[in-house]
Amino acid sequence: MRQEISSRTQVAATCFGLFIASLFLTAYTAKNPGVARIGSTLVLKVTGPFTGLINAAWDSCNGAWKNYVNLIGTAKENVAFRAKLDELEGRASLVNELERENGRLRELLKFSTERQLAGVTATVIGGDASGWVKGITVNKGSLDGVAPGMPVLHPRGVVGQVVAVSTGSARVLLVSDHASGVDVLTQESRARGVVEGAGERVCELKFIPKEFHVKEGEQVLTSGMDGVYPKGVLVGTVSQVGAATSGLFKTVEVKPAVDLARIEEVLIVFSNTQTQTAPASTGLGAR
Amino acid sequence: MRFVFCCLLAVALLIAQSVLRHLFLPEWLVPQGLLICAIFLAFYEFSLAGAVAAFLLGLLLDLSSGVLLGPWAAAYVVIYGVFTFLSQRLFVESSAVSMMVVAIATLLSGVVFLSLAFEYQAVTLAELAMLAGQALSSAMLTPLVFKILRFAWRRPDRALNKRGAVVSAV
Repeated sequence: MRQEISSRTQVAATCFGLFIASLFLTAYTAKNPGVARIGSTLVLKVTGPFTGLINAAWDSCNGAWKNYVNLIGTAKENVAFRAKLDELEGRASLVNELERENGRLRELLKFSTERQLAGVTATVIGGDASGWVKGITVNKGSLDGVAPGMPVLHPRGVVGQVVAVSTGSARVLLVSDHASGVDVLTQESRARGVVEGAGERVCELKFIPKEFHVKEGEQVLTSGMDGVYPKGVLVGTVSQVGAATSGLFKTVEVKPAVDLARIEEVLIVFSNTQTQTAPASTGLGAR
Repeated sequence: MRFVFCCLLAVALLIAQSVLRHLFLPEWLVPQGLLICAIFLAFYEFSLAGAVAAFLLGLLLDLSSGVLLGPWAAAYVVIYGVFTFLSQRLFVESSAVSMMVVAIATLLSGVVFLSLAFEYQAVTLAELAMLAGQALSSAMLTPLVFKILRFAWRRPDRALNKRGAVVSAV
């Protein structure tokens, strides 16, 4: 009995100690985000290849189901013509899908060429495991020239920033995450502020002084002052301007320009100037 | 050995959570596989090693996000602590009970996470709904994860008993 009580006390003391350690760790990594990124890179190195592999397997299974299993089902229903037709339809949908993908990639290429951005296109292969952090995993890593801190864009606007990189994959923190921040300018009123994530599909535009008349529907663009994102890229549109309160600043809600829940391909920009060139293998800048 | 097994399962669940989230399920339906492992440890591994393992599971989830280290680790330690002491009075042999325990633990861990990660304190209704959805999906996954972990945690005498050997009662 006494031994059981002592073992209980030990476990309780350990739990308490670990809890306090967690609190210190939280406070420390909040001030030094680099530490969290190093750890995240290690986890990404282990999980990244598997995530990519499962994605590839899923894609091929999906393709096989569309092009083969469906065909068997219809073949059982009869007639060779129908089977032929289904096969052609399957191919057509595949061609359609490839065409769409091609279109999206062309859009990304055009975007990077127009803005003279050296970068690499990447495909989204995973999301955040906890569901609480708004992040994605992409299939390009340090071998492709990707490094932490690089901005991630889409032809429609800003996606986020690379936070951790392994050789073949990278983790991107989306603009809609509470921990992300983008220095921005509103297009018409030229008010400067910071866009921070504020939940599911909304961002908040902070530090806009009261005297600026920001309107709903106004576009919010990157200012280029944060040294991360190139200037003039669309971040979103003002969806709501809060009533003036007693504080110094207005409350402005911004709807991200990119549908972050549905992005499939993104552009990781190596540098917001034209000085840095992409690696020869896959970089858009090199193409 | 059993902790190595638990660790491998945790990594597999982490990958599954990430892929599920991307390919099939909306984030509010992604089950918290690692939390189920922590709950299992609370009920079947009443020791210092169990507490450390729960902490490491939480840390793994923190590491996978790459933003803050600590909030999930703290949440998992709290969950382990609370349910370890409840385990003296609660039996999770029945699937229904274990599912209920995991659902409650998911809600509790979400609350601890939100209260520690100061950047996430502006909680929206959608996020609360997400918590409820995750509690539901985690509960659904519980019997499977428990079954896999019970395999590693089974006692030799129990295995013998299943084969028909006589086990001494005293």
